[in-house]
Amino acid sequence: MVTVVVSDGVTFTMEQDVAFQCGLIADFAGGGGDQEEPIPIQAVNSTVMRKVIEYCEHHRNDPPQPEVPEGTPLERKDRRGRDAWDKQFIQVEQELLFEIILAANYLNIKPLLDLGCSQVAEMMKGKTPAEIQQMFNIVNGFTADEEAQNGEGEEKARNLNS
Amino acid sequence: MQDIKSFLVPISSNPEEGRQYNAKLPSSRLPPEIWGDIMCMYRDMCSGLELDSRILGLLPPFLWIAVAQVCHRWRETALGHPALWSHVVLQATTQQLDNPLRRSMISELFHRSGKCPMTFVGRGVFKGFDVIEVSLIVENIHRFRYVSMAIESQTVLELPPFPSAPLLEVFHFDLHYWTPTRRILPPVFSDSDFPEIQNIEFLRSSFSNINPFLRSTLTRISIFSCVLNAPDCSAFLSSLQAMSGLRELLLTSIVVPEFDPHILPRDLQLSALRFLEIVTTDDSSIMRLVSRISIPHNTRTHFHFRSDPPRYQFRWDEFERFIHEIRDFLTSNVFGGLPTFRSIRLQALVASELLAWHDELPEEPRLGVGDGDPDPDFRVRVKAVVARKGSLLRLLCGSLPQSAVRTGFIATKYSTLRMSSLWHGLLNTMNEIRHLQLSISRPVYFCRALSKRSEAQPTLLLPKLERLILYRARFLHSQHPFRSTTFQQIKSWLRLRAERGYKIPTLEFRKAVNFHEGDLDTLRDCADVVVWDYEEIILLDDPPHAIPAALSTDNLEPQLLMD
Repeated sequence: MVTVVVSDGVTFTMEQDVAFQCGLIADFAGGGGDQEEPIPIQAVNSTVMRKVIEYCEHHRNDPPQPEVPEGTPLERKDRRGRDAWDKQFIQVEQELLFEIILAANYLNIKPLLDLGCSQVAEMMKGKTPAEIQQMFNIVNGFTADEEAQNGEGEEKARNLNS
Repeated sequence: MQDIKSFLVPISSNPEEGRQYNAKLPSSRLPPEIWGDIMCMYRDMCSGLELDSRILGLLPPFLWIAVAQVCHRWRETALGHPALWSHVVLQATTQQLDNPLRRSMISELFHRSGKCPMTFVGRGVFKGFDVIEVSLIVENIHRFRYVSMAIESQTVLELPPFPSAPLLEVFHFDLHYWTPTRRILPPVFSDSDFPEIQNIEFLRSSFSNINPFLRSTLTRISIFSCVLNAPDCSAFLSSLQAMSGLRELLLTSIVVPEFDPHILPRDLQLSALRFLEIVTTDDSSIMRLVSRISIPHNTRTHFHFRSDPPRYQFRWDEFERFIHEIRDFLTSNVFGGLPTFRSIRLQALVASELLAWHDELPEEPRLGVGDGDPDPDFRVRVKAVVARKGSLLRLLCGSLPQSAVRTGFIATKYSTLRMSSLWHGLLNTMNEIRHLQLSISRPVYFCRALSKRSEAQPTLLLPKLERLILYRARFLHSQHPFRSTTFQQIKSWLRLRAERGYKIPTLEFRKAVNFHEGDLDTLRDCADVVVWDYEEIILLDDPPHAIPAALSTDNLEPQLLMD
C-alpha cells in the first residue's frame, strides 16, 4: 500500500498498482514495496486527489500506452479515444477540470493529462475566438490596433467563404 | 495573404489591465506548454471538422488559427509552440484561398514550425493546387516526418524529383485519377534517400524506381492498383527478405507486366509479418509471386478476392468456375494450406451483373447489390456477397475447416439465403464459433433454421456462441402474419441453449429495419439485447452504453484473430 498526504492535510491510502500510475509517486517510492511514510503531494488538494485516484483505480489494468512522437498526425495517434467512462469522468466544472490537468501534469499521469487537455480542446471546437473568450471569461488584452487587425482578418475570412 | 497574416502577426503591446485580469483566471494556471498541447489537439479536431463533407464550405480555412486570436497570452503561447504550426493540411476548405495566398501560408508554416518535424496531408479536393504548391512540399520534404499526398489532378503535373528526406517515416501517395492508360504524374525518386522510412502506401500510380523506399526499416507496405515494371517488382520482392521488421504487407490489384516469379527465392521468410492481405482479381502474376512467401504461423493472413466489374462481365457459370479456382488456390499448399488463413474475404461487386444473367432473382438489385461495403467498420472473417441462393457461400462453407471460422464472423451481405436448409449446412460448420456477425436482409429464414431442428441437431445451438450480431436485418412489417414468429423462433432457440447450460449470448441488432419495442421485450429475458442505429424502431434509453467497450467490433477482432 502507498499513502500520500495532500495540500489540505488529508491522507489517502491506495494499492501500489493504483498509486504507481502516477509517475511522481512511483519515482518517489523507487518502485519498491510498501511505503511507510506518507508521500507529501503539496500541489494537489483532496478534492482533486479523489478524482485522480478514481481515474487511476478505473484504469489500473490498462496496458501501457506507446509513446507518440511530437508532430504525429491525428490519424496515427491512438484512436481508441475516450471511452464512455472517461467522457463521464471528465465532465466537470471548468475550474476542477483545470485543477485535474495541473494535477495530472504534476503527478505525471500522461493519459489523464491527455484526457483533460482533449476535453478543453473539445470545449473549444467549432467556437469563434469571441466565444472562446466568453467560455473562459478571457479579456482579449489586445491593443485597439490589434483588435482592428483581428476584426479585419475575420471579415476577410468571411468574405472568402461567401 | 493579409487576412491570414492578420491571424499570425505577433502583437507588440496590449492593455495591461486586461492581462492582469486574465492572469487571475483558472485557465491561466495552466502553463504555456500545456496550452500548446491543447492548441495542437484543437488544431487536429478542426482539421477533422474541415474534412467533414457535410459542412464543407461553412468553415473558414485554417480554422484553428483562431486560437491565436483569443488573447495576448494565447497568441504568445501559439507563436512559442512550433509543433502547432508543423501540420500543413491542404484540403477542400483551403481551396477557397487563392494559390498565392496558400503558398504564402505554407511558407509561413515552414517558418513558424522551426525545427519541429512536419506533417503534410493533402487530401480530398486537391485539384485546385498548382504545381508550385505541391513543389513547395516536395522541395522541403526533408522537413517532414509524415507525408500523405492524394492528388486529384486530371492533368499532367510535372513535379520536381523528390530529394532525400532523412526524417520521413510515412509516405502515402495517391493519384486519384490515375489509370494504367492515363498516367498522370509519375513521381521521380531516383535521387532520393529515405533512411528512416517505415510505412509506405502507394495508390493508383506507376513508378519507374521505388528502390529508395525499399529499406530494412519498413514495417508496413501497401501497394494498391499500381503498375510496377518487372525490374522494380523484382527489386521489391527481393528486398522483402531484408525487412526484418515488416509487420503488414498489403498488395492490391498490382499489375506486373512480363514478370517471371521464378527468379525469386522459393522460400521467402518474413518472420515479423503479422498481417498479409492479397487482393487480386484474377490469377495474375502477383498471386504466383506471393505463393513463394513463407509466413509465420500466427500471421493474420487475409485473402481478399474482389471481382471487378469492368473486367468480369462474365456469365454466372464462368463466375462459379472462377470461385472453384479460388477455392482450389486456397486449399492448395500456398501459405501452408487453408488452415493458415485467419480471414477470407470474398466480395463480388459484379453481383448485379451476374444477376442480370439469372432470372430467378429479379428483385435482388433492389437490395443494393453492387453498392460496395456499406459500413467501413464492418469487419468480418468471411464475407460473401451471395448471389443465386447462396451458391458462393455454400461453396465456401464446403471448403472451410472449422478452425478457419471458429472465432470469427460469418457474414452474408445482400443475401438471398431463403433456404433454411442452406442455413442448416452453414450453422453446422460453426459449432466452435463464439462471435457470429450476419448481414442478412431476410432474417426470417435464418431464424427458422435456428429453431427448426435445433433440438435434434445440437450443433445448431452454436454452443460456444457469446455474441450474435444481426446487421441490417430487415424484419417483416408489423402486419405480416409471420412477423412475430421470427422473434419467437429466436427466443425458443435461446431458451433451448439456456436449458443446455450454454452461455447467454449478447444479441445485437445493428441498423435493423422494422424492429419494435415489443420485439425487444420478447427477447429480453433470454439474451442481453443491444440495438444500434435502428430505423423505425424503439426508444432505448441509452443503447450505446448497453454494450461494454471491450465488445465493440474494433476492440474485438484483433484479440480474436490472435487466438
